[in-house]
Amino acid sequence: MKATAEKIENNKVKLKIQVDAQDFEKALDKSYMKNKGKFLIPGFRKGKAPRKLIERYYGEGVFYEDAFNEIFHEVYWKAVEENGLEPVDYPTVEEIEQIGSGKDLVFTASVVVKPEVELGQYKGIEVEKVEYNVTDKDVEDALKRIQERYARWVAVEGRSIKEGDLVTLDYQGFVDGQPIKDGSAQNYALEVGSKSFIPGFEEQLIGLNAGDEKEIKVTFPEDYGIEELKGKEAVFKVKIHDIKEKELPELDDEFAKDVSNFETFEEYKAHLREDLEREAQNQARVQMEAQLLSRVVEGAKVDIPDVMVEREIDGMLSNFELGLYYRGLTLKRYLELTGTSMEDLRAQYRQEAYTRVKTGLVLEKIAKVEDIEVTQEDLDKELEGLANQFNITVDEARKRYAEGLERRKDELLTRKTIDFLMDNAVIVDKAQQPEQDKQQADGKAEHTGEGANQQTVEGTAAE
Amino acid sequence: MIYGKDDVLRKKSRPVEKIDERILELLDDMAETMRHADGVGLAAPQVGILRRVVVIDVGEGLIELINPEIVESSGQQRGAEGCLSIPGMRGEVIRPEKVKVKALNRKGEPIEITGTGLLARALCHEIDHLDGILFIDKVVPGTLVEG
Repeated sequence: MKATAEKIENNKVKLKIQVDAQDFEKALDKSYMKNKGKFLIPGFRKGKAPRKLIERYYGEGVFYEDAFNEIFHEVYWKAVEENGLEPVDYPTVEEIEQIGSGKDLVFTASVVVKPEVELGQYKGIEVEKVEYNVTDKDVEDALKRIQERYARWVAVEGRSIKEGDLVTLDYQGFVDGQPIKDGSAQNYALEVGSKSFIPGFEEQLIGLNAGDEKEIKVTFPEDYGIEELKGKEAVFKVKIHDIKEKELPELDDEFAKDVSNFETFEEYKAHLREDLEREAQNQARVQMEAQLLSRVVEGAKVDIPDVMVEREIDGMLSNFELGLYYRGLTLKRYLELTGTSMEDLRAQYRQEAYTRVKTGLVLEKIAKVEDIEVTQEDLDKELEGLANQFNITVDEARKRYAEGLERRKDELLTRKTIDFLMDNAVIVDKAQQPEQDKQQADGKAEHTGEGANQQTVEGTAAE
Repeated sequence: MIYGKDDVLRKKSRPVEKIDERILELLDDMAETMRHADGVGLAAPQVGILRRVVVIDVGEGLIELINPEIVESSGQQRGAEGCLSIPGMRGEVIRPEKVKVKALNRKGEPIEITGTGLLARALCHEIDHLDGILFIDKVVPGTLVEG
């Protein structure tokens, strides 16, 4: 086989492929063997007629198409490899120039290949320093959230309902003396102040005792979800069964021992602070990386084939679909519910898909130019991390994850390349420092610090 | 209830030193949580408490175990397991057919229980939780499935 490649448009390559006559002959034979059962020639039982006879009867070209398909895949990929191409789409057969028994097969095919990237500046790029300081308040807030998580509902006796109580009650609602459809329940557990009932309802429970019955008068809001009830006055007959209050655990050494491997509360709190700080640092790093990447990517020039963007959208859509699936929705149903067309949805993703593709290509190019590679050492380090995380030995981790890791090499390379860029960036501390700016920065820090807490403390456990 | 990725599930639980009101409340809460979730067993780390406390009910009544320890095991059984902390996943795990467990009951008295079949499986599964081990760590390769 001989193959030559020629650039026709920016990212399109035309391949001219010549297959030796004898190889094509083999493909013809193969096709004959596969298909001979389909031909009926007088004087022969089905499948027994020789090839030459079938060709004479049905025309010389009877096996060409099938033989071509038979051989195409193999020779195409050989041609791609020989010419060092990186296709990003399926090939199109352009023209079959010569085909026939005893002749070389000659044809042309075109395919879209990965575009060349012209890098802009990527070293010494200025990145504005992002820093989040974990404040005492952040730590206290995080502790409060943990405390809430371990709260219990405890029955109270001898007092009336207060805001924040969990009340078990029966209720039955009436409008104009008629029972409201689906407007009643028994032994319903309602947190007073949770605003899960219409305005005014929960407030009027305050002061009632277990065993009390009362008629509560409320007005359905104008924007209520059920048309007939909008703005209507209603009476709810309620009966209180029991009242519970939230009991938060004491934050003491016993608590620390219960929920962690620390002996004292102080140690536990110190560890929590470290967690928050690490999280805050990560978050700051992520934001600085985003700044840096967008500048590096902006500075690079690359003519991205549409097909790459469309493929990326496909990938994003199937992720989105999976997410919907977990929430019990299909993509089709989602489109119906939101009144969106598939085209609209794709269009919404297009910009982001384009950026992702470009970022990927740029990082790949930088890795190539800078000789960044994922080494065995990197893989070992990754395995160590996994072993730590799962409480197993490195050998066990190797057995279990080595294969998966191989597949994650691209991801690791991306990580390594971004780290390289960060190491070569110039971090500028702009908060140095008119007083006003500093205050702003502090305000931001507090806000994001909270986000960081959430991740460490609650992001790990879904209730 | 604590799920999947939380590292509380990966930590070793401490022995209970004193059976006080807190531990009794914990036992009650765990039994309620287990029933509510339709489980056959629950270990304290699954509700975020790193104490060696387990409740089990395989349909033969509630078993409450404090500081349980497997002292004898024999035989082998292979069967599917799931975990309330790893919803939606099942996989086959090989466990002893019979185990003998020593523990304290809620009054602090030493007890001994011997379980076979499902009870043996539940005992092993829950006691593993107290050491930060999940069934997915022991699953027969290739048998882990959704559902």
